[in-house]
Amino acid sequence: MNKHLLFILVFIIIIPIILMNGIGYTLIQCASDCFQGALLNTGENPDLSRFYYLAMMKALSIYFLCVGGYFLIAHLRLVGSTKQKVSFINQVSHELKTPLTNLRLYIDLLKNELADDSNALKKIGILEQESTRLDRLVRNILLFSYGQRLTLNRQDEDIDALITRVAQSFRPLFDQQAIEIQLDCQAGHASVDRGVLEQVLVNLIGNVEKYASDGDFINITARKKEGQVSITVQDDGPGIPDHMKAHVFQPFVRGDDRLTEGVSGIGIGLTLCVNLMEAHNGVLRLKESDHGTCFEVIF
Amino acid sequence: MKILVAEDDANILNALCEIFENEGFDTLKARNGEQALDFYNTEKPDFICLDIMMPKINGYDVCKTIRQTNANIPIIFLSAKVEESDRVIGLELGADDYIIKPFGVREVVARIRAVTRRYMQASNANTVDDFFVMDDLNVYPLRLKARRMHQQDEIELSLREVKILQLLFDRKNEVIDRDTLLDYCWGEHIMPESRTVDQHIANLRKRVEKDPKNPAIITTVHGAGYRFSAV
Repeated sequence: MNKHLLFILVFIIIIPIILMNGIGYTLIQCASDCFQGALLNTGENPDLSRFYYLAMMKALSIYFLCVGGYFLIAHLRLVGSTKQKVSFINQVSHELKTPLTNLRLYIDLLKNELADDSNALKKIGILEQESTRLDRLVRNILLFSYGQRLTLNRQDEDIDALITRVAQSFRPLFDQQAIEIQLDCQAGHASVDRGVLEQVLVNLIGNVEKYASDGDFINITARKKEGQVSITVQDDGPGIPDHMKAHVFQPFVRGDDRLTEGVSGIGIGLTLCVNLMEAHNGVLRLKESDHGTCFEVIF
Repeated sequence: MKILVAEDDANILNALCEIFENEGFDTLKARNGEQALDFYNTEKPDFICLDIMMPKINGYDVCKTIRQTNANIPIIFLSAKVEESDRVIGLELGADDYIIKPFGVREVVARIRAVTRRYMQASNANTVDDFFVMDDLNVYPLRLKARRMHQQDEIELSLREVKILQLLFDRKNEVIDRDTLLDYCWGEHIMPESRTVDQHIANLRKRVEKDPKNPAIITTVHGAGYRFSAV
């Protein structure tokens, strides 16, 4: 339960009700009797009347109501700012996705119109790749902004088919860079949020395209052991320097300049992957590897 | 079939209409929710494609208003909203599908064909399995599909492709000139270039002919048009 709501419940409802009703009155009177007894032993008589108890309880009730009111106002402010944030993200999402939709639609329409012009198709292919890259970046930023509000939609999915589909979407890019895609998927079906797993895989495979383009291959495996699915994405690029390994999952961390110079990105991809997998009760970790980089997704 | 497309971005609207026209729909363009409802009341479309975030009246309210009087018309939402709750609201209001922006042509075409197929089958439940035979091809017009005899694989067809095959079949052994094809399959008010017909036929042949270079279903009659010669 939300911390603010808990405080509101305790201070506005539970404590004042206890104080106002007979149980609270009796409890405090009993306590007071003990207190009086103790004082009497010392020879002092505080002369506490029933009227005094009632007045004390009313004062306490008002005090707790004030504290509860404070939390209520704080809670309403929090709800207001969350709503404002959601509305802002929705608006930004709309503003970013409209030009992206236009790019994708008109690139597809042009591809159909210029189907016989191989030179034009090559150039349109570059536009398509760039729009895909932009799409990926926008999705990452929006998912990153949604943060903990992400709601999962788990369904039974063919994990092998999903991995193959995502990997194949990178084939034109990898073909250009002479990177071979090696797939060894034997995980079968599992309950998963397709969008989440796709986004994680897109980010991991996209990183190979960005940071390991000198390599010769990308190897993706999928296995299921004791009900858990394990997916590894291994490349044979330069690998992550040892001093960076502890920080790769932190936001806005992008490796050293030699690796990232001229490579697009803002350093939220892996952080987002970790958050997405955690929301999915899974993990993303960097595996020890003799060469290149190997990430493992387990859920 | 007439499709009403409501979208506030003019470029997306034009691109969608081009895609739907290529599929064989007549299109009605609305730039906001109010215009969409006006078109719905005056033009009686068969299919509706609605953006959610629109000026004047949003897509949800347009859908709600239409569903109060028409429970059957297919409605597809287009939206930049990705959250499950948004999709659930759209589907609970009675939408048949929900396409998330950004989308490409193939996704729109696949979804529009799926919803059209469901609608046509539901509206013609008794004749849904009717088919006609062209060479070794069984064409199921209400399923928007064709199947080669003795094969299980189905060939997906657009509304326009079904119209072309139906016209050639109905007037078998006759030469159908390009103007007749344009009038019947594109509509008299649409003026595509003549080569559009040729491109369309070439694409259709690639999918329905056993050997597209030696067509048996859609043969060219040079200088005149196209013909289906029934044996």
